[in-house]
Amino acid sequence: MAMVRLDKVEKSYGDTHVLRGIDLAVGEHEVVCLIGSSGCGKSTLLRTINLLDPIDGGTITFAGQEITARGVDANAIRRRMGIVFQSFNLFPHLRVIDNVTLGLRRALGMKKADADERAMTLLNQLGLGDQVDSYPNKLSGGQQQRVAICRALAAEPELLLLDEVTSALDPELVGEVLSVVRRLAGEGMTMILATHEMAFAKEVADNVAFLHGGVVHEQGPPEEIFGDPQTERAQDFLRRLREARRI
Amino acid sequence: MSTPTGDTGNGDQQLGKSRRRPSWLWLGHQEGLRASVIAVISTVVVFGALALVVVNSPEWPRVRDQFFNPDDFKASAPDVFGGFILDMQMFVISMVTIPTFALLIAVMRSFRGPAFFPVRLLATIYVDVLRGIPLILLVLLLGFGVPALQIAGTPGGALFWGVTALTLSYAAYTAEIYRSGIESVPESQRASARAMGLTQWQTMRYAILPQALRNVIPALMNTVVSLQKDVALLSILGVREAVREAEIYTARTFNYTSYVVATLLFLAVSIPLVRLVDWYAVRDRMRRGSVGTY
Ligand SMILES: Nc1ncnc2c1ncn2[C@@H]1O[C@H](COP(=O)(O)OP(=O)(O)OP(=O)(O)O)[C@@H](O)[C@H]1O
Ligand SMILES: [Mg+2]
Repeated sequence: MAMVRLDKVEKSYGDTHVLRGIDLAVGEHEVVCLIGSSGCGKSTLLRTINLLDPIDGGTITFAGQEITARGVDANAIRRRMGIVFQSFNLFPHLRVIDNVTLGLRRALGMKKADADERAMTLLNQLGLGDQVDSYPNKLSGGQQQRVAICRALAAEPELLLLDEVTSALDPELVGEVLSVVRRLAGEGMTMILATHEMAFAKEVADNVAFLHGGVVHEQGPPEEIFGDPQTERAQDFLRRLREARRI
Repeated sequence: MSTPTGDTGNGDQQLGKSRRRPSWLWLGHQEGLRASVIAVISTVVVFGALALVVVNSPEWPRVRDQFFNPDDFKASAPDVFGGFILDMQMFVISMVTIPTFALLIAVMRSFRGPAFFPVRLLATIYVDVLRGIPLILLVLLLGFGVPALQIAGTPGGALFWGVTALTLSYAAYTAEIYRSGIESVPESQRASARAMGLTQWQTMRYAILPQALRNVIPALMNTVVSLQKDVALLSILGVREAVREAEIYTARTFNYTSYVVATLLFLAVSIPLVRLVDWYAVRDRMRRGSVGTY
């Protein structure tokens, strides 16, 4: 059974019809990469999955429950998912540790001591043990993004959404964040990630979905999508990336 | 990097100097000893000339007796000072009631979603109406109007209704300050708080407000400065605060020195307050300037 299933998901912003019937299924422990040109709706798709953006049509099912149905407690659903944004979005007024524990304490109602302990374990695992008392603006981009990943992982989510988590980083800092994602994939975390890192997508993805025209235009295992794309659009997109030496 | 003071210092010292901490008497950029000397001399000359003009004016002796009479100063000071204590009490009470009420309105106005429409509408009407009424009218309407209704159980005192009028009016302005602070926090902050499963209220409380309040502290401090003076408006209700006491003294003696006493008392509080606000604003700018936007 799929962990997440999207059926004919539609989303418009005013006159821009961004998603025009997205069908996508993500199995448990699966890693799915969303690729496609800028503005094709990758971020929008991720936001609709954790209910930050209400959809205009279709359904989204998560762990067997239709979460886009009426009367669903969106906060309860969000607590079971983690999301990491391109620009980190850490809380500048909170120390690193408090960034990680805020959700645990306020959304899950955990005691401070327990929340701190869990956050420390995570931060140590991601090599941030000596930064716990710093404020985010004192950290490098790579460190900030690793804190953001800790924050998303703190509530032990069943699903992790990653939106171009390395795009805002200097090239030499990309590796440290990707290695964290690689490790999570190895541990069996179910993930949907929008990415421009094609080499990385090739490496970690079980499935690659190419978004174009508001739909999943082509999808399949990375060897097929990258090695032998069937549709003209996908061929075009990959050729342009190759010309720009992004693959 | 060089300055016109002909110094021999190197670039690092220059940098250090321009980044020095603002002093409590921060009046702007002043560089070097020469500049300070010029500032002192020109100040003495200007104020000296002004004083000479006033003292040599034909009516000065009469004005001096009416406004600056040492005997009347001594005679009126205790009552005016007593009234001033009441002013400061009203000031302190308002400093608690206004921010609290204003925060409530601002948060009401900032909630999203159709379910909160009535709440938003109510808060918006409140702010629009209350900002449209001159404070003095509100003080008169509440201070004389409500006690006249003689509704059972309502407090009757002019003091109570005066402070209420002050609170209602100032809260409308202060709510707008809060709201501008709330809106200055990027949308992405709200998104990441909601994404963790925090409710709308928790998002406001733990993610948005702490940042919003920090952004509006200078604006809030300016409101405090004008509030400190506006408590004197309650004198029109007959509340025996400093201005009212001064008025009573004047009516009795036909001497205006008591007003000068009241003025000096208000200045004694407001000048340090204004300096503090300026100092904070400069420090805040520097801190943001050196740290950059987050
Ligand atoms: N909140 C919004 N309001 C209006 N339009 C929006 C909003 N969010 C996204 N859009 C529009 O929706 C389209 C898809 O945006 P989205 O950010 O999902 O693309 P993307 O695939 O993530 O692009 P990128 O690779 O540049 O991040 C764009 O045309 C964008 O302008
Ligand atoms: Mg995007």
